[in-house]
Amino acid sequence: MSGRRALRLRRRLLRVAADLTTWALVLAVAFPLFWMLGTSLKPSAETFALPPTLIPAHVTFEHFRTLLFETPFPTYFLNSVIVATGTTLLVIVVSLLGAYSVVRFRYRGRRLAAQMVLFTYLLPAVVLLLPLYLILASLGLVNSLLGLILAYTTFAMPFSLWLLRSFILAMPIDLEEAAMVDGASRVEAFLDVVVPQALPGIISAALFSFILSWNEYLYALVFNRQDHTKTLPPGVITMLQQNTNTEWSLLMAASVMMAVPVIVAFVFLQRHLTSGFGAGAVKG
Amino acid sequence: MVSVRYQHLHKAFGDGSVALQDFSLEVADGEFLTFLGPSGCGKTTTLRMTAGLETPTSGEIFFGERPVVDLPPGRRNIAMVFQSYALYPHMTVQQNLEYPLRKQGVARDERARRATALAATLQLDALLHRRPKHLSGGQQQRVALGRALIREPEVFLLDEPLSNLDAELRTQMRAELIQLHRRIGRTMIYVTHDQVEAMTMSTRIAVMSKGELQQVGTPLEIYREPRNRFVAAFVGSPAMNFVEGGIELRDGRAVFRAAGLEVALPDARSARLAGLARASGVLAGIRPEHLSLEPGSGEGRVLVVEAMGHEDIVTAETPAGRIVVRSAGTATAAAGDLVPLRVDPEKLHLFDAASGERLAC
Ligand SMILES: Nc1ncnc2c1ncn2[C@@H]1O[C@H](COP(=O)(O)OP(=O)(O)OP(=O)(O)O)[C@@H](O)[C@H]1O
Ligand SMILES: [Mg+2]
Repeated sequence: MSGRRALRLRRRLLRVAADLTTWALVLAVAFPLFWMLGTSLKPSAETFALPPTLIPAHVTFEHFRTLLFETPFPTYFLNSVIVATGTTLLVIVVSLLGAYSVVRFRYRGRRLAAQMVLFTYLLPAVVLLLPLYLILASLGLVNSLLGLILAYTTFAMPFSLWLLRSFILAMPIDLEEAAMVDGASRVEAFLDVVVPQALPGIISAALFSFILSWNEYLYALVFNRQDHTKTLPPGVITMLQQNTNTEWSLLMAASVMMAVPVIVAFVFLQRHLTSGFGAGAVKG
Repeated sequence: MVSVRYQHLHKAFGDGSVALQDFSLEVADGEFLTFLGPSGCGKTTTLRMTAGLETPTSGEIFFGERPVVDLPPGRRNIAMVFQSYALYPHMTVQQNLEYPLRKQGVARDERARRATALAATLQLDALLHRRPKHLSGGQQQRVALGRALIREPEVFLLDEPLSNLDAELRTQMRAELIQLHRRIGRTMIYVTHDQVEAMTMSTRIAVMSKGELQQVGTPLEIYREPRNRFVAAFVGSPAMNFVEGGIELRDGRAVFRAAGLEVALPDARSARLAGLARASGVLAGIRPEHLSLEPGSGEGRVLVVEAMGHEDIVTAETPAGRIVVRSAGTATAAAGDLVPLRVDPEKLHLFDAASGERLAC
């Protein structure tokens, strides 16, 4: 009896230790975010106040107002939304069809093609900067949002392709065949059966692509030099460093607004990330 | 309502393996026909070609008078129950049942009405809103069956639909399938390697081996007059005994003779066998149920006795080889006994030892 109680006590202690560790980690990660939010809401004078205040003494939305009405920030924001959304859609469509083709159809070189695509990740992004720039230039796509979408797609697509490939590999072909016997065309079988089952994978790949293109700095900086095609990361930094001193409060406000879409996307999609439909549909 | 006709069907796969050779067969309208054969003999391949999931290398398939080889699966008006059930995991039972109707463009209300009605007959009414993974094996099986039934197809294709069920459920579903076939009277093609399923359910059985059709016939024909050694050995449990020997004529009567075993054949068969007399090269097939532990044909030393309660399965060593006997009663023999053996001469099967073909008699 006492043995069992000791065991239960030990289990509870372990649980508390695990919880404490988790929260410590969360705090460490979240601290800069709190600082960012705090700074964006302080009057500029309070930014460097001593002792520093984590929670602003005076809350002001002045920086957000400045950002939205007196800078090109809204243009950059819109550009980023277009580029990230466009990239995500393109990546998902291309990699879903590609993964399906690689898994379900037989043709010469399909394995090699799938493997070659991963070579993108063997080279640092800087190395591909010039070749990609030249390609886009010859297509007349420098300084355009479409150019950036294409460039980002080449980065996000391989990961997405391989992720979705593993999802489709795990799907029994019986299901598509059953759908076809039940009266579906091949395309309908794909849409009715494959896509819903690949949904957790599609969402993971979509988040990956969105975040990658939302945060990308280097290519955006080099490819799109004109103000009306700039995206947020290079846009915000160049905008706030035109003066000799950095506008910290504005930068923090911009950072907060940049983080919002990503947080929203996570909150809405997280549920699907963890819930696959799982096995059990097909026996034997 | 259609018949299904296979004409010189041939299937080879890309890797060169031949799954089906010169397969010709007509499945009558409303028939319950079973493809029976060991693993890898081409049953599933034939069924898949019927469904349109696989294209024949050559040959034709007709539904009635209509050639179907070039039709996609969805246009053949068939339904198929997969061995894996292939239920759509992201859909509820009701959505699974409705899917074929949805593809036919049936209106939502009508779909729901038919799915509910069908679910009631299959005892699935309480489960309509569950996902397949929350169903037992037997329930999943019934959903798969329901999805096949709902569109009232002309031909049902079933690929080992009972093989994932436990023994009790299998027996029960067997009876349900027989009733179902009787009720709807559609053409059904059923694949199994379980001879009990084939014998109990089918109107006719097509026995296959290594991609070739061996024999087509009613269960009784297959059991009573197997056309060759393969069919004889595959159907029946415990399996038929085979003894090699010869036929000799004695006083105008044919006698099968092997080492330590003699069976005098009845008059009617004697006459037909007279021309086939030879000293060796004859294979006699004797079903365990046509042997008894009585004097008459030979004797053997008992190796094992398996008591089933109402009968014993006795394995005996004889000069002609091992022989299995189904002996009615209890404690009919014990290991080590020397027992007499009698073969029912009416039920003796004779094959050519070289070709394995049944001898004309
Ligand atoms: N896609 C394929 N590619 C190559 N060979 C195949 C393919 N499908 C089947 N085969 C071969 O064709 C032969 C017949 O296979 P099939 O699946 O029809 O057998 P089966 O009678 O259904 O056996 P089982 O009782 O094990 O299901 C086998 O030798 C198999 O290896
Ligand atoms: Mg099979």
